[in-house]
Amino acid sequence: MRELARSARLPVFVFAILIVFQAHSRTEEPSMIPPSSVFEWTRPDTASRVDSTTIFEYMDGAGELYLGYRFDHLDAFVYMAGNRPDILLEIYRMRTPDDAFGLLSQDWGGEPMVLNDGVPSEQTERTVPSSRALYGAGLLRVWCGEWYLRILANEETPESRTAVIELGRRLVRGRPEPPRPDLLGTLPETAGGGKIDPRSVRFFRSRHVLNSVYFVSYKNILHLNPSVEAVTASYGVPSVSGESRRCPVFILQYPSGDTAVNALAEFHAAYFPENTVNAPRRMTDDALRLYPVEGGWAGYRLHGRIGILVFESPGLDAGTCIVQDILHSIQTWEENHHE
Amino acid sequence: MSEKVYTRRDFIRGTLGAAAGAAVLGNVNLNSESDLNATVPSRVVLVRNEKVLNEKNQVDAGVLRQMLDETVVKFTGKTNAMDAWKSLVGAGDTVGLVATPHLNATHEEVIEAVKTSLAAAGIPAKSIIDGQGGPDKPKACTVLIALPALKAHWLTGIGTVLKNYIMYSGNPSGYHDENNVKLGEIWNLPFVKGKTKLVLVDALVPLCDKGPQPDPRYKWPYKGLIAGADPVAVETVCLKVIMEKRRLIKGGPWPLSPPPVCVEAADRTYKLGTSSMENIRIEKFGWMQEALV
Repeated sequence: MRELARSARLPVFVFAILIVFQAHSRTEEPSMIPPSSVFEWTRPDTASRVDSTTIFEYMDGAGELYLGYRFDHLDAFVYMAGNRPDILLEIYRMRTPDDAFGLLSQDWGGEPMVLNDGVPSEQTERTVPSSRALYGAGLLRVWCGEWYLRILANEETPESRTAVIELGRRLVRGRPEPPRPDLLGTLPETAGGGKIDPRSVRFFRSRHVLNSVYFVSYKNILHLNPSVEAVTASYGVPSVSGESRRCPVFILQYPSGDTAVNALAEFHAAYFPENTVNAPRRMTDDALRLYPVEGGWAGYRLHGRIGILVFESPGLDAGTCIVQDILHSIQTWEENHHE
Repeated sequence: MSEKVYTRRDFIRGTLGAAAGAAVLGNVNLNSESDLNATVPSRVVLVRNEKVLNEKNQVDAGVLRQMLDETVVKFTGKTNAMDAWKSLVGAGDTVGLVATPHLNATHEEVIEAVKTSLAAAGIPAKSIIDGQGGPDKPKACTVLIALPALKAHWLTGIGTVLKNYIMYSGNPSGYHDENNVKLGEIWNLPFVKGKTKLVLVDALVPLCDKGPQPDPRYKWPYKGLIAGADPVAVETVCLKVIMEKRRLIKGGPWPLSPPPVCVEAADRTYKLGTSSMENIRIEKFGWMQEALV
């Protein structure tokens, strides 16, 4: 901590949270052990360890993001190099690679980086960005298996940029690159005549993330929780006027058919309260329900334990086509799984 | 009868007012239909100086002090900074400075500049305390000066003025999720109400997305101080700055999600001030390139 204290250049937030976490620091080594130095930058011997019981002390107001992705723990280090900018390394350990991917998918902006030279990168796909590491303005975000890394220089210089990227490279080198979340395979390249916007693709489980992507309700009317997997993407669907209109689509996979039914029933009651006459008393059918609401047509369809939601469709026909295309894609995905 | 659940549809319709709906749609026109608190426009003072930050976004304390002096002079209508501070704070007051403590924190230089100014106005150093924390903090103060830093917040849309007092509730988790709409009630707690003489927002380097965790791609050197007595009006102007910056970055609407319902509710439900831009008079001074309001 003396090393930390001597750095008056640390951003206040970094300094404050690490002071707070001095008491919580453990001496054990993290499972992903970062290099002791990168170029001129060196780190302290031990990390500041944060777990789900202390995450709000570390980042009040942001902890929900990580908990929503089944956060296990976080190790934080500050690398220092004399008068050069400090570099904060945060190593987030998530329960599964899917969760760590979900964190990266929060924002596809930035410069794609290929860090793991030893393992061939996947080819860019048409529906989901292939990036596993993104850099922008001093911040490198990395998905590496069940690890999610944030490496932040408190000032971007040519040297700090090089060090940040090199640090990321050393951390992921030789590590396997697991596939992206399986559920992403349900997203078709086109739906309703509109192409997917790959940069709109997200994987998530929590209502907080849902609302940060596309606000639906502050209440958890879709019953999202860590046992649910969800993907979203926007499709540029042509409207009657010929203009392309962004239609957000959500595919929610629940643990069981019953949980899916209950979730969609509550969604219907909350989102389409004026259409309760048409609401399924017991949603055993797979009917498509689309309604004209503020901002376009919105609706949903149940398919086994999967719910398909569409918002802001330019019309009934377009909404119907979108859902049918999504459904077809899901069925193809299911068939591939059974093979 | 089951409880009404507010959804995206309600915000687009303007059930809770136009500001939240505009945030959902990415429309930066914040002229709401609200007529509450509309009899006297709320004043918000914006002071910017191009030289307050260097190319590394480090603060020039001297320039900042000039900005602060100008801000309080314009805000109070006094002829000099000392008289301005004296009109806000008396020698017998205990003054709590309520800054954002971490995660895009209020610049230390801002806090120090306010302390120095108060001292110059005759407030003893022992009477100027850190006002951020639990309920005991405002109870110990006769005057509060809110010093939040400007930032978007991924859980509440914006996390600047109204959220700055969340610890005063003694139950901050009680204002998470949909309950963030109630943030305004904290300002009406008996030991808080009426004590805030100045809301002074550190808008030197705001964060327009992904807050409160810092992402430097969404921080920019706005180089401003935003001040007023009406916390809702100040927050509304801050919201406008954030939304306009987001529009510039994307080249089109970039909605804030979730919508900042606490701002509208602070106006309509808690009567703390106005969230209607048409009822806010923004007085701008200094460098105005990309002022965004």
